[in-house]
Amino acid sequence: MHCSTAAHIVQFVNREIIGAAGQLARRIIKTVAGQYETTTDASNPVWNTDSAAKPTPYYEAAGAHHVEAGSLTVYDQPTVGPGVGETWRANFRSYVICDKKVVREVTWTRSQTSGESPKYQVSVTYADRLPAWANELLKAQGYHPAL
Amino acid sequence: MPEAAGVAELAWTAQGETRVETPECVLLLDPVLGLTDIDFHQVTDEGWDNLSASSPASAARLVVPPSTSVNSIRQAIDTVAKRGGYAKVFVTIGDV
Repeated sequence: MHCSTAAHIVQFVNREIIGAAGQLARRIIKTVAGQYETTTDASNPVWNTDSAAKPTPYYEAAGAHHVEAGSLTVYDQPTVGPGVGETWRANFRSYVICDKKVVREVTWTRSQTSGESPKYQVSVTYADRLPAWANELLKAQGYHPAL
Repeated sequence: MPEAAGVAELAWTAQGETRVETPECVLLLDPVLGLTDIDFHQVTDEGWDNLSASSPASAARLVVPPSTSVNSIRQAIDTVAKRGGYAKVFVTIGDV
């Protein structure tokens, strides 16, 4: 996808730690940008803005990326490190901004069950705006609006 | 393995083994970016403000790819212990 103006990625993360008995565990996740809690109710995910450049909301502002002739490539490899019997999931919603408009929503998960290798699941859909919860979250967490 | 400069207790583990305790902070030693947090953000000087141990007994976990040199691991452990203030650093070598 070619963009006339700078492309951006606005990304949100929530994490699940599933114990050996299948329960969602409550943990605090520490990052360079602050901390957030794991999701303990799958129907009510605890989203966190995945930017280390607050108040800039874009992932690539501090995340690994490459810019070349109207294109933006970002690199991400969230750590999932389950203990014995655990499954860890890092769940993401990424919004692709091109020419100052949201153009795609990328839903992806990196997960790992103890004793297995990490796995990725990715789906891409058309989108033309950030959902209301995303705009509200950016504001609540002290980030500038994405658009 | 001996303690790193006397600043941290080292406990080695591997995937599938029982960990001694739940770490307060998870870090990755990436071959390109160096130390990153759990969400793959490079750890900067300012970043340690949010990653530091909450108590003198806190433990951190350092995940490293199998190809990482011993010297790099040793340096990373030292950084986590000193900059983060972690008393224990659990090292996991495996799929990252």
